[in-house]
Amino acid sequence: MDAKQLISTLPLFFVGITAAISLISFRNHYPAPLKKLSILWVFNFCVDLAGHITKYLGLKNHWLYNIYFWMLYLSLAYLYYHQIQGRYIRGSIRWFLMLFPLLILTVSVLSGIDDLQTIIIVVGGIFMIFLAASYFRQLYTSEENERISRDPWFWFSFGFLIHFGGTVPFLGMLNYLWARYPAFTNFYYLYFSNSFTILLNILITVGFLCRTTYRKSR
Amino acid sequence: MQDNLSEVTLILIGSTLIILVLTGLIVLSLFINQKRKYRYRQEKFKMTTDFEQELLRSHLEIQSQAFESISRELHDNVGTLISIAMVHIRSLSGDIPREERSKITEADSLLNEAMETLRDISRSINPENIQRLGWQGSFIAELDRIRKTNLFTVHYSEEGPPFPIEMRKQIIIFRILQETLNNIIKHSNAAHIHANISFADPEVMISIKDDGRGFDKKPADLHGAGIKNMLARASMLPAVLGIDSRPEVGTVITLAYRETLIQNNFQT
Repeated sequence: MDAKQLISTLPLFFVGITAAISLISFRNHYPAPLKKLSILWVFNFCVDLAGHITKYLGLKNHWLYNIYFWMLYLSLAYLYYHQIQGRYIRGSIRWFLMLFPLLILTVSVLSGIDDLQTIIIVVGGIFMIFLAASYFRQLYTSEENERISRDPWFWFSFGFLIHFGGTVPFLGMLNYLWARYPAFTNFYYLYFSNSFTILLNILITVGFLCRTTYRKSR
Repeated sequence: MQDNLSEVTLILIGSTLIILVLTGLIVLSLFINQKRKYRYRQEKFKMTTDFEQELLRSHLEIQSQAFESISRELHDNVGTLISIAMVHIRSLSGDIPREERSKITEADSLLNEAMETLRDISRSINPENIQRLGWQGSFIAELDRIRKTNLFTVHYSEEGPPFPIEMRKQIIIFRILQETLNNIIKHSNAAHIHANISFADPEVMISIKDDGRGFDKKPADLHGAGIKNMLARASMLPAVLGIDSRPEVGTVITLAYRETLIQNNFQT
């Protein structure tokens, strides 16, 4: 395994650690949303692992990542629905949950699923940035006494904002960049995109570990 | 092609940087806002606490003035009336047949007892008297007054050398002890009262124990004005007020006052 292969595998290592650490949410008294996010992250790891394996086998794996992004955006939107209290934001999430599958269907029928569906990535990514920013706004205006650094969703939103903010512009142009500037695309993907993924996973890990005691829910 | 690549790179890196900077600013403003909110809550809490303390101080001051006024009225008015009644009774003794004189003697004795009790009550509620005797002397005088009623057997003990306490706090300590004794007289049905003062400079521990009927409520569930007053006064000192009661066994009230005590605690 050369240096580039090692660097490209590094994010997988971080995703794996985060998925493993996230399993502590299945201890007693952890809230249900954390358990669901843990399941999502284990799924994330499995997909990424499968992606790496298919890549080394020389098989095209964009369809795998398409399914990954569908699941990721819909699941995160659903989880944020239970975290965000604003009536209009929750309304927008309901619309997203209804319209996004239609968009997926439309793009899949029109372009197929063998190539990366960059429209899905851009739309979903922008909506995730919007949800993370909305959650920050909710924290900003909240009257609660607790330190925000002890709120797991603060760390998750921080991670999503950085990750999607950093990768959505690139992934949105990925097909175009691969076709015209493969060397630059490879470089950017290897060093920048992977860095954002690693940072996301570090912040997700911090979110799961920032607090180990939760009050028993009634 | 190279120019296009440069443009693409610029757009990509530029948009990424903008988003990252915005994210950083949002998170920073969140932390700053939370710090500000915390500081505001602290200030609000301090203002509320100061206001409540001031309100309590005013309340106790008004109460003290009322006691002083009552004490004066008791002494000046009621005391005078009893004295006049005693003079009249004694003046009658010459005109009454011998067999009826025992009733006069008894009336005179009752009036005398009433006068003494009135003096004791007047002294016990008069703040000037408390200042003259000090909290310990006033407490002992109060125990003596209860002993004289013959309704309770009163035991008093003391350990360690006394040390000076600020006069304002002495009055508060005495009022707490006085309220405790009043509660024993009114509610306990006790036969014995054991009072102990233990001095260990700068701390003094006072315990008053009775063998009355007790109660099984927690101090937080007691809503009587007397208990509330005691707790409020203890918080003013500040001192630790302990209330330990068991039904059919009795009650122990402990008051621990320490000059350097900062926070108020209530023991249950």
